[in-house]
Amino acid sequence: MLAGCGSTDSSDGLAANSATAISSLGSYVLEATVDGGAPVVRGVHGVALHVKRLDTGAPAAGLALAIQSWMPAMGHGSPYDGTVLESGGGNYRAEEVSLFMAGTWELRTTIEPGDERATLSFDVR
Amino acid sequence: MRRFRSTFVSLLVLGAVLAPEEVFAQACCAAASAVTPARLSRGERVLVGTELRVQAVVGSYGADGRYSAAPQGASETGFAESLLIAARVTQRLQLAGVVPWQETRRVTPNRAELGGGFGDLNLGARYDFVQQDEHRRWPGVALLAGISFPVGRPPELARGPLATDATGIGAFQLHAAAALEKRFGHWLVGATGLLAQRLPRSVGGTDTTLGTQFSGLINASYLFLNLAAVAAQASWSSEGDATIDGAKQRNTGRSVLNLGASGVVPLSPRVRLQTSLFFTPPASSLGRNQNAVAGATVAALFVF
Repeated sequence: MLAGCGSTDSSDGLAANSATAISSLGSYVLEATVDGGAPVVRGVHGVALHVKRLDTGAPAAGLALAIQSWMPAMGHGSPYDGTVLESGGGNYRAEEVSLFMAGTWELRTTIEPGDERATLSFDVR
Repeated sequence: MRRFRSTFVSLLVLGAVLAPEEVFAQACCAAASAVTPARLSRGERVLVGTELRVQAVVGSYGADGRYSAAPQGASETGFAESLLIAARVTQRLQLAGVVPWQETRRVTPNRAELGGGFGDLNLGARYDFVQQDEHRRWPGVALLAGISFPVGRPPELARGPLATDATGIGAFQLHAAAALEKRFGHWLVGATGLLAQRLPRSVGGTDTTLGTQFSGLINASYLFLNLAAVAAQASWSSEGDATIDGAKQRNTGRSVLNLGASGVVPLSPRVRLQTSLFFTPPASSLGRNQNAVAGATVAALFVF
């Protein structure tokens, strides 16, 4: 649903490496953090996701997440999107997410069950 | 990167029929050689040539227009070798094609990759309603049209994680342009306006249509008596927001300013050598959602 760059090191004007979004049906809050610190430098990264229920704030476990990396300004995706694996406590992780060029990338996330969707945006340098 | 390059190649193929009409033999080609590697002059029926291009990404413009230099440990260098072909159909109509072969080397803090392949195929046509020097007062007027075929590999189908073998945008592109040119003694000036529309495509269940793109190009060249020429040119390209799954995506429009200088030297009546330097000024507000690049070209053209 919505997207916003997070707060990890935006004090100097650089883009953050974390972002939050509320899922399309309002069930979940997703926070994604790209490995490597801020700003996100183009390359292949791991992405940590933490998912909470919006109504209770409790960690949301047992979900099936999938991500598609996408550059809306360029109209293309990425060859490697990475498989999302759950590690417990509402934590999920994707390895080998390719953000191979500078610009705004979206991590388009689908959440099952429920077919909810969320889009997380990152400014890649 | 790819899309910028694709746009550039699209301009290139239109350039094959956009370049100002020859005033002094081959001297025409200097006027806009940053985007116009070849164009048939009067009396020429067929042109075959090759252009070598190298460019490096030196930075990028964000969605807010803010310029950021390329971060330490990351770089992108692109190479292209293009086959240029042009043929005259009538005195006023000529056709052109560009077949590019592209390579990209990307280096990130955690890996490096080199890849390449054929880029999108471009075909174009130019019709000169009024030839340069045909009327004393009126400038030359030409209309152009072109199409790009998505034969290159789009990024999402790339085989490496850094997508260096991505050589196309995955969508058909249609182009239309109008070009004016006028000679003032040894000086030749030109202006071109170009519209490009990328057709919709679907990737992984996502339907996307990039915004309509407008490009404006102005150039001025000085023609020497030995048929050599030097030129300077500036181009501004801007496009609207992309549409994804039927909804306009805010802050996805792109724009960029490019500056260039070029020269042409006739080696013989049938062979000319062209070279150019081009760059994107690295200053905020001069671009949006676009890479800033610097590069050079050299081309050898054979005319018959």
